[in-house]
Amino acid sequence: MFPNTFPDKALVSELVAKMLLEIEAVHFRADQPFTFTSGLASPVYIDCRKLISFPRIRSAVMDFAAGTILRDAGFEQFDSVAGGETAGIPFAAWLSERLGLPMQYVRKKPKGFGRDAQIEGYLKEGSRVLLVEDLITDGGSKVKFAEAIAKAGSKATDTFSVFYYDVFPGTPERLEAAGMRLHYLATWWDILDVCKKQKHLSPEVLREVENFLHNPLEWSANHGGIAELSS
Amino acid sequence: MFESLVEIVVDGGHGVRAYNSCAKAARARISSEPDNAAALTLIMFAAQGVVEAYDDQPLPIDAADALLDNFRGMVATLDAAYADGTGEAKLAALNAVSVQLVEAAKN
Repeated sequence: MFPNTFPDKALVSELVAKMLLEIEAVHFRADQPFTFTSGLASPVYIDCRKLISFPRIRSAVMDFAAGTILRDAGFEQFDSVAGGETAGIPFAAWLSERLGLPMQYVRKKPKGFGRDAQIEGYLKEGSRVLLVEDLITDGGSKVKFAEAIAKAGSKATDTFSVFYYDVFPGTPERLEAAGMRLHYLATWWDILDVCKKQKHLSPEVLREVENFLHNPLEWSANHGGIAELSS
Repeated sequence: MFESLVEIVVDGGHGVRAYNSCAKAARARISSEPDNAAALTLIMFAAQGVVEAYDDQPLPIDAADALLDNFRGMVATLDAAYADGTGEAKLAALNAVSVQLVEAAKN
């Protein structure tokens, strides 16, 4: 179970940013950008899945996660924890263990028959569900997972991710419109702060990263990617 | 004839979601264009293959460009054969693209 400690939010964000840099989960490629699934071109990419291979760090991250959720959402607000296929599954498993709650995972596509064809595991109808993912970019996939949970007769009231981009305007509002409150541990701005403090990047790369973070769609369009996110 | 399917991918920044939209568009045309069904099915498989291989992870832009070039080439092969209109040309193009798809799946 969770050790019931509630460290300062800013400290958590800084520590998680440092951890992600330490395990080289953060990639910078200003000259040869990445193309995301959305078609967005980006000089930065974060691979939160790397966390699963570092037990000391992942344990601390999941304790931070439990503390954040209990502090921000409440202690008795959920009946279940659901992971989004694929990257959300291990984080949902560790979090459900800490919170003492049942766990399911949500498939991207239905498999089999019935209203719960996208849900694996037992989800009691009418459950209040915490939807867990490794990261949130514009919130699009979370809305789809929440729809699958609703189809199965329950409601995703909150969504948690280890990392939240915090660069696309309207993301919290989009999630709120889908009935979910957003919780997270760190953002690109926390990574940027640590990079500056630790002089982790060259001034040129840092400038490109900042340009992207301040105006991701314009940066993307100027580097062969999309200029707007589809709704 | 099939170029509009490539445009879907290009307009979507040749990201995985754009290939998914392309696959859906190809599938939607199959029933209304029975004479093009085999070609549209191959295009659908090609686009779907990209989705399955690269969903959930970003691609370096040069790799994404290479995938697009490959996809565009397959569609162009089918387009040219179907514009020519002979059964032999169509069959040859279908076979050639099928081989390319199998080879791509090995990599």
